[in-house]
Amino acid sequence: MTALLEIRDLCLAFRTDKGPAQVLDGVDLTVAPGEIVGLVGESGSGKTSLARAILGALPVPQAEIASGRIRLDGVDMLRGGKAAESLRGRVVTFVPQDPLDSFNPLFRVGTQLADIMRYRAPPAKEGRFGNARHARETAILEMLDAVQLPQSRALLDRYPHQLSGGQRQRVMLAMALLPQPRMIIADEPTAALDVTVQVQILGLLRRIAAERGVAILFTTHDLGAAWEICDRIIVMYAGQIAEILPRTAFFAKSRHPYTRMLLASLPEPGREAIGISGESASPLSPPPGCRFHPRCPMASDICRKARPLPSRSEDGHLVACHHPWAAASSPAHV
Amino acid sequence: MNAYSVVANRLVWFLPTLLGLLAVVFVLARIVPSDPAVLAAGENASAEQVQETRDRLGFDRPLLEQFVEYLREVARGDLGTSVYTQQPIIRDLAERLPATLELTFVGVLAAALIGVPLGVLSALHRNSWLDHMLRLASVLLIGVAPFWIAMQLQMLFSMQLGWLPLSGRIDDVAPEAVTSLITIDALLAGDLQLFLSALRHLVLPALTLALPGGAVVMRFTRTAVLDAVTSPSVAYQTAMGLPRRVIVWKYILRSALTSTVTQLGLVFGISITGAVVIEAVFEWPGLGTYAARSILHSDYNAVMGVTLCAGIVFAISNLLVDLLQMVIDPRGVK
Repeated sequence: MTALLEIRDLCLAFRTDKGPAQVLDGVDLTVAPGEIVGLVGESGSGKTSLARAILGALPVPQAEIASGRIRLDGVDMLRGGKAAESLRGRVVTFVPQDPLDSFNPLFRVGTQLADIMRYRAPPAKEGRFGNARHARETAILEMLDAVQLPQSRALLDRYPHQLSGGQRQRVMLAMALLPQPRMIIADEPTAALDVTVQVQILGLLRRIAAERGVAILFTTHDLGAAWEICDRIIVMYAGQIAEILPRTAFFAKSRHPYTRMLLASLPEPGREAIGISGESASPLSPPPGCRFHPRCPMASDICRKARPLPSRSEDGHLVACHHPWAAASSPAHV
Repeated sequence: MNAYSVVANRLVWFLPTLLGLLAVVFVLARIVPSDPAVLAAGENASAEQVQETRDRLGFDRPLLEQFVEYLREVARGDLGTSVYTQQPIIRDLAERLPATLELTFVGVLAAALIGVPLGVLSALHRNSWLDHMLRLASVLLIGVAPFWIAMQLQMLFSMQLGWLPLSGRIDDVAPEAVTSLITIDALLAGDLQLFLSALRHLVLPALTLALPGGAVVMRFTRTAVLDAVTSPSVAYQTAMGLPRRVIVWKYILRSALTSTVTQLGLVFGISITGAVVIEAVFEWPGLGTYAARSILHSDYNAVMGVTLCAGIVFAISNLLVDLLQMVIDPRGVK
């Protein structure tokens, strides 16, 4: 199986007034065609920066990619120039975190959809008497239908602020799908939504990915949401990958202490939620060795000195820890 | 708020604003230490004749009584007679206002055409040599006195190069007055020669208005574009690979225009009042030269008439700016 997205040893730093902030450090990951991968971690773990690096939407003057590469569909997305440019918005599209801010407030929803369709989508099939504009509108209306937006024609004449949060995110989803991409990068796509709407959007995302064979890289801090729809979960901590779990290993077989503590911090009936003490590692001066060691109950001398190398088991489960939990042990008590 | 309530709101404030404006100018004109009766009666008038003139014009009555009397006349549509031209002031104004409006319209239009594109370029090439040059030029143009700009333009373009006429509004007889805007009247009369002559006379005075005006517009456009460039909606469109020209000249420009239009309204108002100086340099037969002469001759009613006229024009231009804002930014519109 050849990978659709392949990231190797990606290191990314932001220049700040207090010196360089290491946002990503040696990130390796692959996404297969049609696969749904969740990137999970606290704020500041680097998951959004990773998503933005793929899209070329980093804050340009401050961001510095020290090393590594990102290949999408065989094209180098960091140094690919025009070739990479033409993939963005065509082969890989984007569903942003805040749909309201991501629309231009001064233009009708229909105009913004039409521009994506016009500049990024493959030419719509023209009917015998239809013109290109008409064909595009038909394609847009069909897509709005597919993301379950009823009365879509009236919607096109509205302005973004006149839509509900759920409607806006569905339109964003439609805009991500119109170019018929092979991959969608969804950056916390449900963070700005009500819980009930979150569930609907996630369900929609999963169904669309399955129907159309689109791969999804989905960042979230919500383990539950990731578990709902992902084939694999990548747990990140302080710019590094802590653990990659295949679907079969969700919850029950996690091995990294951080993953287990994250799971334990979820509120559940019949059990106290346990918080993770301490603060997330500062990207300005990350701790030596394993970045999680100051907060880890199992930390020993080696954790303070050497960065743990990832070890992979045959089912694709990867963990970067000097003292991982045995694969079979129960996660109930940490 | 819809368009009707904006207009209604403006109209409610219109009368009190004008009343206040008139009251201030009425008092100011009478504080000035000169005796209008002496000037009105003529150079060789005897003391008795001066007294007689004073009685006739009512200058010895209480200030409040004079003001109420004046307002009563104005309400009847009578602005009084100019002591200097011996004509009804309303006729003087009707003759001169179109000349000033024509000049100001062309000046503000040119300011927008110069300022907006340069502002966008300056913002997009932030901190480049182009940006620095444009910002330096704008500071100079805003800082330098308009009459100095006017004289430099005259020296270069009419005295040295001989390309454009030095002063005045037209060479030949004015065309039949339909709109009293000579350029348009010439076109209506089908006289291309006359139109070109009027246009050539317009260039230098309009440019004198447009250079500092355009500099103001440029600076505000630059700031607004810089804001818009870093907005989440532009980040989204960039990530989706929309062509840069569409993002800039369609989406960012519209966002920037909301503040630019407000500035254009102000530039228009300032140009109407600033016309005094520019019209004097170019011997432009407009409101400005009339106002200057009225003040010099203590022609009270004429000064009041000019004030009233400028106030009304200002109010109308503000209303137009409000309506234009609603077209550009439809969010507040129901």
